[in-house]
Amino acid sequence: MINNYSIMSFTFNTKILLKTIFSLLFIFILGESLFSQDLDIYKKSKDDNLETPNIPSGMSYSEFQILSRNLRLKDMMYAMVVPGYVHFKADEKITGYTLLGLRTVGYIGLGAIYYSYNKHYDSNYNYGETNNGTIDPNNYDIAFVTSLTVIFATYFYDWIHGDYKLKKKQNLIRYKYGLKVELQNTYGQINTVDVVPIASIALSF
Amino acid sequence: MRIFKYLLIGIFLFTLGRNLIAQKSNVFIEYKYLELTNSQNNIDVIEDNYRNAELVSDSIIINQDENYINAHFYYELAKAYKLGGKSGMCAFSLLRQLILFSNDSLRNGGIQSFIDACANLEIDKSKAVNIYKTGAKGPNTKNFTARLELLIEQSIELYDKEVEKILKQYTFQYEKNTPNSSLKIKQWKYLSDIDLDISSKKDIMNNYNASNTDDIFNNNAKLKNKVLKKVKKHDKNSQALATFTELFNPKK
Repeated sequence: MINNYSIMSFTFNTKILLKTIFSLLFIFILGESLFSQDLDIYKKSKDDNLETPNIPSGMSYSEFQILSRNLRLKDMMYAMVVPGYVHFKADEKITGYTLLGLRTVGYIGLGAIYYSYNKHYDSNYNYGETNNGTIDPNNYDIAFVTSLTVIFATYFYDWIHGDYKLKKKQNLIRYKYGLKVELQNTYGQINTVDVVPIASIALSF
Repeated sequence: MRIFKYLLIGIFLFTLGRNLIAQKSNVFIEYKYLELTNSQNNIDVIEDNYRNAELVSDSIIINQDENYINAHFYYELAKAYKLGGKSGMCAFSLLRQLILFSNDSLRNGGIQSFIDACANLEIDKSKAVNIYKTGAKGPNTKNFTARLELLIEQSIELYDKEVEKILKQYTFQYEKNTPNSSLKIKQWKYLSDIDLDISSKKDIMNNYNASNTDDIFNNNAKLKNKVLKKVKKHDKNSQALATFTELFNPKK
């Protein structure tokens, strides 16, 4: 009796517990969505896009863009679809377009193999043509492997070299402006971020 | 009330002082940064700062700032360009230092670096020395615009693409402050406006004081046709050659 009761009690408590958890989760999500403009898991009580960053004097827009770019897992997936994506993101347009061209050649190669293979296979029940008019499967294999190699090589080059280039550029920008701010602090000059009371007189004619 | 008055005067002087220091500090910070990066000899870091250094240089020219630190700034900038393999900009920076902000302690090192940079631009040593010595006369005048005129005139002789881009900006600044600008600058500016390439520009400017039109073009029919085509394309009106003839009139 005692065992049954405890089992029943346990079952009863679990149901209540689950109900409570789901209710709380629902209320939490509802409450969060009231604070944010979108349904977010984390707390978002203000719009990030309205925040104005402190941009160092002399920083160009392209430097600002590069500094605010990060490589995430989704970029790895985008790079599979868009050839040269990471290089475009790192503002390395020449390399980006070169990779785009090479990958396109790879895709064209694969397409051509697929088309020829089907054509020969349908007409002759055989594939690959030698000098004697018979079929040599090695021709297709080499072309297939070459095309695949080009596709994968451009993908990995884009990802690894693009990542290196982006980080290198970001480091250069951080070093340049970071050192200048430090120099300003070291030599005790005005820090442009500080608020300085200003009194001025202007005459215009 | 008196305390309040002194407080206001104090705040005014403090603000004025800080603002004056701040204007100079940008050049000083840039000079210090160039000094630190040049000593590291890291080309990527050095090249990355060219744009920022030229921004500071523009502020010096526009404000006609006469601070002693400017000479050191341009000297370090010349070193940075030398390390980055930009001989034209290196020579130009040395000329900016020499003509606009002369400093005797930098002159000996300056002339040698200038000759080396000119050698890379295929300017022979005697001509390089001549440009430098003519430039050295600049500091005799205290008038900034007069020194700017001399700088433009001497820098034209470098015939470097990057230098010409900056010279165009300086010409704008110079003409704004000068009612009667130098003929050499006017001619050079016109040839730049019609988008003539550097080698053709050099050929014409070398003979600009010739006695007849054929001599201006050094009896080179191809060059003459090229220039006239550019002039017609630029002016696009019945007075197509009027400006050119007026500027390059051999009987002037």
